[in-house]
Amino acid sequence: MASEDPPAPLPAPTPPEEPPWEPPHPGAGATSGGAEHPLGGALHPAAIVLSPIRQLTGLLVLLVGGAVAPGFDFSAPVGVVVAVVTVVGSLVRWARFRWAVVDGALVIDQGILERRRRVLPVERIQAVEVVRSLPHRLLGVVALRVEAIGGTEAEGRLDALDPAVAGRLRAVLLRHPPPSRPVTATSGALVEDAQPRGALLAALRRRDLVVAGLTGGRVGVAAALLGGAQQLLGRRIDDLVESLPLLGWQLGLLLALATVLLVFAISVVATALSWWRFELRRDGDALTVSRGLLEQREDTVPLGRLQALELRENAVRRALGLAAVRAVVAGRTGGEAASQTSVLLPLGRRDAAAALIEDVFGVAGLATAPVHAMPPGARGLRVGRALIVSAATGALAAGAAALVGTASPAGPAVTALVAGAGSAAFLVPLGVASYRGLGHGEHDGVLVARTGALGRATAFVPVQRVQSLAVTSTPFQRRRGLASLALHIPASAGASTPRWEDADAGWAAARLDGLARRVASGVG
Amino acid sequence: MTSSGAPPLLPLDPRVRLLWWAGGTFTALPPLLLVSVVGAVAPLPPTVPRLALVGLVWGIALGAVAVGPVVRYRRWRYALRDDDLWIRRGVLWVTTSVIPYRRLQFVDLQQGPLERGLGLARLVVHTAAPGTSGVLVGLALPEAERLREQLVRVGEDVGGL
Repeated sequence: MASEDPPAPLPAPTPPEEPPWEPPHPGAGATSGGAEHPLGGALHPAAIVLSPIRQLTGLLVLLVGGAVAPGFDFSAPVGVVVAVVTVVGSLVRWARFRWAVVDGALVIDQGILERRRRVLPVERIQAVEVVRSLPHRLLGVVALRVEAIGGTEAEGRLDALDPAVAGRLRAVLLRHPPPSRPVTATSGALVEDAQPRGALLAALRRRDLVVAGLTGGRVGVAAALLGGAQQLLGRRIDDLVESLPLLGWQLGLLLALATVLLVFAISVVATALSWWRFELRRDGDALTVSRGLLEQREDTVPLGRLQALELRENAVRRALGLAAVRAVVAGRTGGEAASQTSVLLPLGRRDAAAALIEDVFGVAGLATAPVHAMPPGARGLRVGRALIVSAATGALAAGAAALVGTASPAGPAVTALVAGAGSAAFLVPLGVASYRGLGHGEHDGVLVARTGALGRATAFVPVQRVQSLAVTSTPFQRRRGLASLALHIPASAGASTPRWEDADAGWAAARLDGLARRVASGVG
Repeated sequence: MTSSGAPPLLPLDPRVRLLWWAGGTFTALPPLLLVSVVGAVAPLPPTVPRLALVGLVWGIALGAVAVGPVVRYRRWRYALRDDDLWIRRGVLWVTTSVIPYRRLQFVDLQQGPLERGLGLARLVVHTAAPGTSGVLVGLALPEAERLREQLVRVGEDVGGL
């Protein structure tokens, strides 16, 4: 009875019928007010200019670099030709771009040679972002970006829209009631959608920004900037480095210190720019984060798409009594941009962060519910692991010393001892700290899972967001009667799964069945 | 609900061991050849018994390749419980997965060339969470199709699919 053909594919959940493409009304999408104007049309003409501006900024940097750094040849005529080609390309792309809201979906048609249609049904939309960078502000437009899960399209981007149109579009995509009166700019919102500004859940003051920059990690930005500087001024830096031994180690130390301070300063500035005037509001059934100085953004996530919340406290922040809150939203495409847009509270006092979590889930006493420790065998496991790694380090060091053939009279044995003891002194406390960071709990239908030594993260997962469960155990865990239970939730590909690590094996198995039954029955 | 009178723990198709033996051999051969070459060429003192060492490595590797699939086959079990699909697999790293029918989104049947030759198929179960939530490797094709239809039917009843 084995069939020859591959089994028929499962019928996909019926998507909304693909609407026949009709040319939109000319001039649509240009004016505000009057709800009779259908949503759709071409992008705002500012789009023609925006993309070349972005690309030309890079060009400009190159030109400036060419002037500053010797030996960097860049001829002006080539620059002009490139600029013209960029603008013409942008014009053609703008002429071939159409968007519309048809039959409960955002439809985008784009492409110069190869036409491509994106259909993003409203019910699959995870988040709506409205962004206004400096060029946008100069031209009086905003950009709108939509994220969706399921289906073939994950993202839809409208680079330039009239703010009123963007406001109406966002209201439609988030299924807010249509405006009953013409929209006027009253509150400080980026775009107007006639919604009363929701309750303010969190905000950042300027001082908090500095603290966030100092304790957080935007080091990546700093490193990238420094790396870029190194490329432009490479030869000068090389000369400087070569002259260092002559100047002595004190100057070297000073330079290193200066570099560290520079990294910190860049981190603080970058944080401040990103999170300027940070505000978190609840607009009915959605959470909106607004922030930014040079590039202003408003990111909206419907509460129904919120899968879990994460309370993040790294060691430094914990010592200061601070914490950050991050949302786990399905379908984020990952990367730095996505991880940024998931932040609900970049930094705040820990009790404020706890109150925010309780507010969003509507569950009182959630963040103060007891978090139980894992069995002590877990500590033994981690200490044992640390000791093994230390021993391996010692052995490696001894091997390296033997190969290199140091003339030290003590020989490889002492090297092994020193290296091993040194790493143990560091790794064993780390292991104990990581054990103390583990925790599990439940409160009113929300599961709590905590992990981490230096960067502690506590995940709050409503039972009904759990998609599947898995208990895993390594031979080492089994020897101590431990196992780990993973709670699988919809999340972006890079996100880590909330899990109860190194729990008692019998308890984990019981929870596995118990939670599966609760998920299946649909009751919290 | 899931204790006594529990649905049977079903094994995979025994032919999956052939699949794993073939796979294991293909994976083990390149490193083994590398080790042999290194063992023959490396500048070690003459007292080191090269042949014995290389022979030992080969022995261990081939032993693992031969025994691995047998143990792995014996440990892989799945069950269709009242409300969910239960899968346990793994020898060293043991994983027990539970996927409630209510959460089923996709049920996929896949066949690589070797699987097709052996008349086997791989059943992959998806939920809204990223990655695959449950995998059953090496089911006999008719059994796999029947299981998939059953899952689709139950999933539709409960409202997931």
